Amino acid sequence: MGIFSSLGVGTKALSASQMAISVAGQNIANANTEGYSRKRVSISADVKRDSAFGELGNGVNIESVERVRNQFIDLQIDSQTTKKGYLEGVDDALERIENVFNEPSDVGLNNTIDSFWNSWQDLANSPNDLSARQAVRSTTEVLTSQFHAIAGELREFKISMDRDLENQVKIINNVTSEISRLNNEIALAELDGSSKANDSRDKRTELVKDLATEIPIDFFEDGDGRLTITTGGNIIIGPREVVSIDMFRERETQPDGTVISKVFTQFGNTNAKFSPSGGALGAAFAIRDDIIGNYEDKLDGIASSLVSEVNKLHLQGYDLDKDTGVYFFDPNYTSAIQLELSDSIKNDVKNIAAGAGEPEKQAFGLPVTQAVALDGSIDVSDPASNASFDTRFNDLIPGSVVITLAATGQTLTEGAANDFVVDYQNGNIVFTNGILVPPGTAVDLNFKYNDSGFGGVGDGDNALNISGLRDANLTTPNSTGDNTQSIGEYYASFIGELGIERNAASSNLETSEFLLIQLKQRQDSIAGVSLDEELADLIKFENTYQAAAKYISTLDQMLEILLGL
Amino acid sequence: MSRITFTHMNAVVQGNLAGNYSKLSKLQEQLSSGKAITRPSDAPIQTTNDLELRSNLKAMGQYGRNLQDGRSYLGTIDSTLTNSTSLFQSVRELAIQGDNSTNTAVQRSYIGNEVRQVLLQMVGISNTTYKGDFVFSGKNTDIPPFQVMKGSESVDNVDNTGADVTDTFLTVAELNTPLSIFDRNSNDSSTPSGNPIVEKIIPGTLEIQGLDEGTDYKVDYVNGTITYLTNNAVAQAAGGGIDLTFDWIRRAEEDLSGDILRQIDDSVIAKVNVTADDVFGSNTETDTFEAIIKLLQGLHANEQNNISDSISEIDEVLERTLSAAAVIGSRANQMDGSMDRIGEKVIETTRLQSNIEDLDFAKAISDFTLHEAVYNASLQSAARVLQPTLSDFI
Repeated sequence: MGIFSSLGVGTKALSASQMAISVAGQNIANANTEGYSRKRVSISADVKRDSAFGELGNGVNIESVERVRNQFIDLQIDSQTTKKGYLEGVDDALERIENVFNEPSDVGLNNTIDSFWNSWQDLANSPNDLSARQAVRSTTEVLTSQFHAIAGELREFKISMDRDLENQVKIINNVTSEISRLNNEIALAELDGSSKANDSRDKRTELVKDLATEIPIDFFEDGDGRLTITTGGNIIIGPREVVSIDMFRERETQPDGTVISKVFTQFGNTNAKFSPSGGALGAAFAIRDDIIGNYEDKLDGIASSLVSEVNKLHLQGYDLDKDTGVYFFDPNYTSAIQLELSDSIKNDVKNIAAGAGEPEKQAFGLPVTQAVALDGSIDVSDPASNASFDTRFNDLIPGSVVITLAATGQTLTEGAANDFVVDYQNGNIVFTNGILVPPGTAVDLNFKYNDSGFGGVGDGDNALNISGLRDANLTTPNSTGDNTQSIGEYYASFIGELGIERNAASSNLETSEFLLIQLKQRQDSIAGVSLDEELADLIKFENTYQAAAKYISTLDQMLEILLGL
Repeated sequence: MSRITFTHMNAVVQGNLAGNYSKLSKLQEQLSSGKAITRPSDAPIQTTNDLELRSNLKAMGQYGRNLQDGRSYLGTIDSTLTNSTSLFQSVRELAIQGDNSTNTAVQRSYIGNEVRQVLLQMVGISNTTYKGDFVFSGKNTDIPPFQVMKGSESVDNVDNTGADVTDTFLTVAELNTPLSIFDRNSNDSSTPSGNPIVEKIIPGTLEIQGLDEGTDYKVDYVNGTITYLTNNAVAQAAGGGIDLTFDWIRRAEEDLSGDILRQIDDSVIAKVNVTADDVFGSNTETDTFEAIIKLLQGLHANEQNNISDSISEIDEVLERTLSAAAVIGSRANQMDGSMDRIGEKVIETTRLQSNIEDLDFAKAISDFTLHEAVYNASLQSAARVLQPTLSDFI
């Protein structure tokens, strides 16, 4: 073995140390770079065959610079990232919905609905009082505007999800084309089979994580180092191509008749509809199509029960103008976003039907002094031969007629064998005792008749009935179709459900975040840069470098000695 | 042994600091608002209960107001009935005084003047209002149950064959034969029948122009008949020259039997009124005014039998008033009881609501102190752990 070949050993040692020091420098420089994996120089002893001694050391060989990273942890991180992306979206949305409902508070819908019922009780106490009527109207206006505000905010939230979706799709398309570019770069760099495109791989790992935040993905790496990525079984990045995610809009008619256009996604190559089941994009779809819709439906349910039940009673009642059949809420608008007072109530609070009417009335002392006709009969509906007298008396209550003689006050007895018989159907009374009651006799009539008519201005019974809807079971039918919850209970339980849903989303999110941190810590403990280690390496390789330099100078001296001979 | 790197330490420290800080911030939010629940997800089940308790409280507040209002309504009626009872006692004393056979016609007519005032006062009492509503008119609270009306008639059709009875009651004029007045119908389109019957004419108020009551004619106000006493009167009547005026007490023809209701608890609805029938007697019995009219007739026409008859009727009327007062009294008691009950319920519900909603300050503050200590400790340890590297020592 000659001195010159020994010099080669020295040079190799120098460059190996140099390489190790520069890798340590790179590691230190990127100690805080997100997604950076520490690099390690892989060196091995170089040997050559020698005829005399067999294998002889021929210095050190730099095999490769490798990144230290656990691929399997990366896979777990990606799938957990997808979960977190989904839960984060859902949790944010539910928090926003909680804010929209603003319960429990003194200004929430719960309080307003209670005020609404109370205003009817106040009206029942003073049905003739216009200010109580005004109070019912203005309380209802507060109620309707609160319904409009809440439903409007939910609608606005739903529409704003489309803007989020558009941004997310843009991000996804950027990320996939970047990954594809890195695929090509890595394949090119690693063409010779031995070099590694470490930093590009680090970048790609980070981008895959970004993609996993948006949509659920699966991937594998082929022999060239290219990643093929699929989502839900569809390829979005292949070895050669990128499949873009395209957006299209569809019109959707809302329960109130408004048409909104919604964004949907499809694969650029096949035009097959793309509805991701997880990730932030999946969350955006779920929020828009399921979560908000669910609370909109519940709110609409309350609004429509209010409209139909209050109207049902209000239609039967009597207003101050003695009219009946008046709508309280406009029956054309039953959804929360439209809920409106009817025009007649808006025009005049006198049209609020506080009275329930009198189903049965007593008529007394009717003037029938000439009434016993020559044929010995009286027509109750026309007792004084006055055609306009009153047709209300047509519907007599059987057995209620009492007749007394006007002159003596003697009470007559009903029955064919006695003094008179009554045809309750036709309102005709025939006197059968011609001796006691000859034609032309003055008699006083007492009877009861059915009347669905106005009960008087002090009649607040219908207002009381309407306020009674507070406790009436109007929603949530059970298996036999009977309603089991009042509007208040229904609202309280659905706010409770909202809380439970949010709670579940928050704690799932916390779990997911915790798992993700654990995984990242595991990856960090493998791929993270330890400054202490790198500093130790620096000292180590500095010494190696010094030693190698000493070795070369020793060889130099040896050469000098040799040449000086 | 797993590698522990700077990045790892850093992540752990940051994670723990953030966790501790968010606990502190939640406690701080609770402490500053004083509420344990600020949004449904803080405690979903409790939120549901809380909303229901809030609704209950609001409903109970309303029942409380309804009770107060109903109690005032009953109070109004109660004091009215007390007044009318004492009026009746004075009427009864006057009746007994008038019944004394030593009284002269003049003395009786003096007593009669006093009774007439009481009669008008009774009409006033029947028109008692609460917040502008007539309390004895059932649901027709805008209609006075009884009012004093001025009645007048002029009879001009002498050639009547008897077909049109409504206009003939005074024209079939015969000496000393009572003719009915009560058959007379008055035209009034505002009433349900359109023709209220004239009854309850106040004794002493019927006047025929040109004739004198007692000299030319006499009136039986109880039975509603008029009897001509002189040929002059008969001739005037037969000649159609009769213009007569009278005061009468008109009972509203509208239904006065409606109930005025107040909701005083969940599904408890109380009646707060008594009707004109309960207090003054129904249309088919001798009512308060008819009893006094009978007394007045006796005093006016110096008829002792009517005076003594009226005493038992006045007793009946008094009895009726007292029993109405008893009904009102028991309702008032019921309301007082309900008011106490509602008050207790409000306290109990508020306590439950406070248990759910309000923060346990002692616990929250001690938790806060604990978490503050933990947070400080983690900050301090982080500062020490993150500081040294090998570079400090080479």
